[in-house]
Amino acid sequence: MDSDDDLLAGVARGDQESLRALYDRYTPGMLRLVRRMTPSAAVAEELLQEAWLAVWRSAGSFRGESSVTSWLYGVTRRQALGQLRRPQPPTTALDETHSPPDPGPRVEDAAIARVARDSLADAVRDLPAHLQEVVLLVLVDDLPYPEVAQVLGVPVGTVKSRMFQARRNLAAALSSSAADPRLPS
Amino acid sequence: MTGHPSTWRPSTGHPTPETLATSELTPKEREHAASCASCQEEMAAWQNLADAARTAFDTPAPRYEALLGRYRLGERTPLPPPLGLRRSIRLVAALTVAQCRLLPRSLAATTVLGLAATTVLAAMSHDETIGQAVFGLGVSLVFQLGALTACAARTDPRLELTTTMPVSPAVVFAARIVIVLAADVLLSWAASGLAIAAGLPATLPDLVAGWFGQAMLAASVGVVAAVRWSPTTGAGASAAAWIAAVATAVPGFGVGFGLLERTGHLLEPLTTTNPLNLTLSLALLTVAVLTMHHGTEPGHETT
Repeated sequence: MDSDDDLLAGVARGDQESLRALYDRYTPGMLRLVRRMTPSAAVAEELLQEAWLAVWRSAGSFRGESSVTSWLYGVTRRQALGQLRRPQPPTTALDETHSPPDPGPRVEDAAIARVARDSLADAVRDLPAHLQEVVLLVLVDDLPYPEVAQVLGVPVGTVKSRMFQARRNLAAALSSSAADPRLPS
Repeated sequence: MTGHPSTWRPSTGHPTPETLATSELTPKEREHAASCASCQEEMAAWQNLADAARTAFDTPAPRYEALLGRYRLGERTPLPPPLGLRRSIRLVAALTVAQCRLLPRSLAATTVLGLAATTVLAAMSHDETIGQAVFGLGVSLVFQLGALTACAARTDPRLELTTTMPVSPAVVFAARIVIVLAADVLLSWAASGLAIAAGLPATLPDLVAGWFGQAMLAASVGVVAAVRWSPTTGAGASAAAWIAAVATAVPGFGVGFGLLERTGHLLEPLTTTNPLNLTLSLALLTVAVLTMHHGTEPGHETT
């Protein structure tokens, strides 16, 4: 199987088969990325299309300073922000600029580890967008923290802080829904 | 701990959350996790969360043919033939006119007012050295104002046009900088003549040489910093270059303060008009244009 770097080099040379192979590998993750930026499935597909056309046009500018994955996700995010006319410079809340203090193993882990997957999925859907983004990039797309930081244009400490915050929010949401008798458990 | 100290929590002796979340454990960490109930619980939490997140955003991806099939990607668009001399001249003229229209009108007024004030202040001085220093520092400020206005693209909505023109944004930016600096040079040259006519005791070549090098360098430093980082950083860098010019231009500056005096002497070759200074200014402007070029590619790697 060709490596990502080989495939991107092929795209830069104009090889459509390389593009197709990269498409098959990365489209699910790129689609997840744009789906969080728009509620419309049709718009998300348009954004995805623009992202792949940008990849086709600019593959030659890849200099190997990052992984192909984070480069593709970076292109996708910039294209989507541009198309949506939301030129958001990367912003970081003051309390996110440093790594959170190491909390050690907590009761939150027990709550998240044992809850039913559907309830947890609902709680993930309710997370703020910036927390969803890091959870998906780290846990679903398997990007290391430094690459997530590169894709989002934020410090690595911010990624750690958002993961910490996401886990705390999820545990809080799960415990409040368990305590509320009106909600299904 | 040994081996991978940065992946262990120093306070508790467990691997860090990011290590457990990504399951990229070293053999030593794996050995620890296998016998540690809290690490296993944390890994189970991350795994359950990963599965839930996958479920939450499980959207079937469109097939390649459906999304990109209608584009004939395999056929690269051939490069257009080179423009002839006449069409090149027409394009440069159109670019110049367009950029002149896009520059804020207040810039012209501020430039003229700044040069007028500089001329009056310099002409009021009856000392040749002080008069030249005042004139040079005033002109330098005017150059910095023009250069920073020209590259404040990210804050000026009118400049969105530059990214939709059929010309590279880097070329548009270069044209814009050249227009502003050329206008500043011509107006400052005229102001030099007026200052001498109004009584400043200096010759025209000496007066022009007194401001040209320092103004070009201060403007170039500001442009590079503004393009690479932000207009605010550019303004700060310009201010630093201007203060360096003050240190070398004002007679007696720093005398009695060894460090300031030595700094003034060290910076003198950079803030007077000479081949080194002009080459450095040109190099900095080139870097700014190249930075603009890389920064506008859709796939550039600096996020």
